[in-house]
Amino acid sequence: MPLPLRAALDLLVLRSSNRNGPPRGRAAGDDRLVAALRDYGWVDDAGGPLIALGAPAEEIERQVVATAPPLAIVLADGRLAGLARPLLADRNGAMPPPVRLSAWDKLGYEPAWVAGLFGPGAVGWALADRVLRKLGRPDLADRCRLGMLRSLVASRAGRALSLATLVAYRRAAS
Amino acid sequence: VSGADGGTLTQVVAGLDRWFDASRVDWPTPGYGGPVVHWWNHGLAFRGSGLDWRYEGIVDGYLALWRRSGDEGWLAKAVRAGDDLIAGQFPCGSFSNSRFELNPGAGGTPHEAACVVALLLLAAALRETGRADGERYLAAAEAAFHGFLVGRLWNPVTRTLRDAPGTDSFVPNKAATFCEAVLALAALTRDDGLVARFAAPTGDRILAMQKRHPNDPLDGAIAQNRFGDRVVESFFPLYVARCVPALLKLTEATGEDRYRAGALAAARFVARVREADGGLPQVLYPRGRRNRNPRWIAGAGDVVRALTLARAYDPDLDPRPTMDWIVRGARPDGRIAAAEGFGKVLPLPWLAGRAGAADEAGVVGWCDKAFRALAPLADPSLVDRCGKVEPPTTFEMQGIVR
Repeated sequence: MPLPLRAALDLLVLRSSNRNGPPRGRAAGDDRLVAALRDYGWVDDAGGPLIALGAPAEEIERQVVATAPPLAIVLADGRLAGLARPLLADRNGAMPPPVRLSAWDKLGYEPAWVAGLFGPGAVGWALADRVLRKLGRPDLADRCRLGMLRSLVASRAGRALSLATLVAYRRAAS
Repeated sequence: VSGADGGTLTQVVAGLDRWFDASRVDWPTPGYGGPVVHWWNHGLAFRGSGLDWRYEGIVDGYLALWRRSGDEGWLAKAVRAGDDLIAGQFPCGSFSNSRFELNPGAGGTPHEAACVVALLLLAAALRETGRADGERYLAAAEAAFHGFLVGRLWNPVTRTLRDAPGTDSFVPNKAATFCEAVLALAALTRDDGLVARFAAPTGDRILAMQKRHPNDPLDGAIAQNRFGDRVVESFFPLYVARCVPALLKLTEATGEDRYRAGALAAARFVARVREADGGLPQVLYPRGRRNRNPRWIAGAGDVVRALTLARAYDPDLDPRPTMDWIVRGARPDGRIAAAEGFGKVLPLPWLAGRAGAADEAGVVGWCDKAFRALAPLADPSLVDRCGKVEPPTTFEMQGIVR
């Protein structure tokens, strides 16, 4: 599984963990990602948050209307994913475009939190890794690779340029 | 007090036993859980049981305590570990969540081979006692051996153990764990053909990746891996140490001295690069370059094991400085800290943030290495195996490290 997606699942699980047991909710979308999430111990719970992993916008909207989850967490491609995919030799297909913010507003939801995965910092480390390896400095290249692996969650400034995003929307108070 | 003092070692082993018990979880099958911190990736999100190399040290350590004391309670703990592996074994022979820092997932290397070693050690011990139930652990080991290790990883054309199905890659330390599994299986089944077919060619592949230049500081080191014909010239002392037991056992099994010579050269390399405090640098490269951090503490048990075995042939190879290093890593809840220096791995230290918090993590799959190395030196009569079990210290790290 590509690193940004694996990191996204890690983050999703860590953010969804609670003191009372395993993370739970209703996962939908790409079968492989949903299966991978279940491997973490994810518990299906129809009354919990909706977890949309690469699901088409219309599918997300349909499920939100039908079930009115308290929280919907959406994994989608970041803005630069299409551009960066060839550079990173990522052979995975693009995820469908996410639901627009205006559509969430109409559904009665507002953003709760957002995280970017594999932002400019991680890309910079990855490029430095490649350059230094070619220059015969595997010691520094390894440290840059470690830098990449330790900056998979983008900084606030780098979110907009991340390869993947995880956005949570909560039901707005009526 | 020297860390190698018997009483101190006993306290450390007792603490680990207590901490292992506290680290048990029920999901997805019974076993030992908790976070993993590692060189490239940490696994902090998955908290289920991992059926990986943690079992080699747990089983071997408990068997050592049982052999020295005759106390069946220690054997029962080894059996419980074997039952964990059987409960989490798939029909194809693989084990669930065998990818250690990359969990969740199956098919981890060298983890599946290490699970086979654990099962075979247990089967051999039970056979010694005349108990028939040992055969089920042997059957589970054979299923994993033939189903995954030979069935998916072994390339019969090149007689090489691949690092992953379908790839042309070879990792000596992982192959060494496979070699230990082959030798244990051959001994239990009295099938010497396994040695000639799998173990000897694997040993030769490992030796082919060893530096043998007397004036080179890397003399005796074994390169980390190979993709096709391209050798990755990174030399991790821990992983070089993990090659030593297999090579020594290969000489015993085949009578070929070249394996022992390779093992001793590897052990001398490890001892030579060891630092004054008993810890070892993480990785060395040609031309004197190195990345010192993080320096493993609990995992250095594998260095102790290697030097202890090699010392039978070279008395200058002394494991005690590294024993002391491990003992200094023992914490009040019984765990041994994972490492020292995670906060110093990035080229720009001010970016490290709280990365150094990983040093203090208690990781079952590192602590088992210390347990395996120290258990044979502890006084089992002084270990209270029914001691009160406290929950392990909670380990929290912000962010994702993959």
